[in-house]
Amino acid sequence: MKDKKSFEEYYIMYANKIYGIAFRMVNNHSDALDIVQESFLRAYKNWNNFKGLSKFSTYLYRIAVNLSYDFLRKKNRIKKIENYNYENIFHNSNRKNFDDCIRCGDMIEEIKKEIDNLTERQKTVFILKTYEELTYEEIANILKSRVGTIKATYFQSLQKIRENLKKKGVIKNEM
Amino acid sequence: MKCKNVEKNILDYIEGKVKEKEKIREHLEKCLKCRNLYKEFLLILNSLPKEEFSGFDENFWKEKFKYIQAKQSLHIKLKPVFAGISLFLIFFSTFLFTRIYTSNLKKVNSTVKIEILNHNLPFSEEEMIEYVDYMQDEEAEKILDVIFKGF
Repeated sequence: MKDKKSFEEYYIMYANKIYGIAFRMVNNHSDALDIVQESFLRAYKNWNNFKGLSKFSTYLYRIAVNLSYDFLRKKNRIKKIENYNYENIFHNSNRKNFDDCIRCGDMIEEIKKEIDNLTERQKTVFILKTYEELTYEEIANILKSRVGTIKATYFQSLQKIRENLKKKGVIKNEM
Repeated sequence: MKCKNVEKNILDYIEGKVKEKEKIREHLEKCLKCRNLYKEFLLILNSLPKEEFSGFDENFWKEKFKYIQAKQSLHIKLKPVFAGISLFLIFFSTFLFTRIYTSNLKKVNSTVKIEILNHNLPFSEEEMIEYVDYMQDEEAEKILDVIFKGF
């Protein structure tokens, strides 16, 4: 049986991860924090029923994703990533690889926009796969779906981003 | 290998998790369409604004956890109150239902009795009301009691 102290340990262990997902979904610091708190409050209710860490984390991710959906639906918005003060907690790790790329900044901004234009489902799969680096199996567990479906959704999301970038001329066809 | 199969496995190929790596590579060299798909997917994935979330420190979350604890303890404290309110509501609604049911039953019974009386009297209802008007209230009640006892 787990006690309150160990729940606190889990909380500290996962809070940043849940925040990361929520932030990328809703693009807002305070809303992402609310989602973290609400996710843990809901998870706490079922805390005693969990035997393993992996099941708990899956459950936690699921709650966070669903709360993010609810938030987006309620507010009826998918906002652009805002440049607020909290952004300094994020730092670009791969930007240095594109120092020689003149349009790198544009490309990143355009991709950000295209991620926001994905459907809720596509966006979730895309974020969990690329940012959280979860496996297809883990994502399928979180979203209560099949591995094949998740793979297809990931492909569709990339394809959608690609096509829109092509339309905008950000990506040009190689002849 | 066909384009369809390459397309199906392209993401695994990018991740280096595909068995037929060589076959896909050969196909990509020959097919411009698939090569474009591969290159463009790779470009998108490499250009992703991969902000590494360094996160908030432990103290930040410890502070935030106090809110969870406070909410939980409030929930635990309020549990008996909610239980009490629920019990009260159950008892009150049962009491109310019984009262309404009994009073309605009485009303129905008396209506039925009057109906039976009206159908069995050797005079009409209007005539009866006329006779009753001549009597004193107490006398009328006595007569009605006698009649009702018969039913």
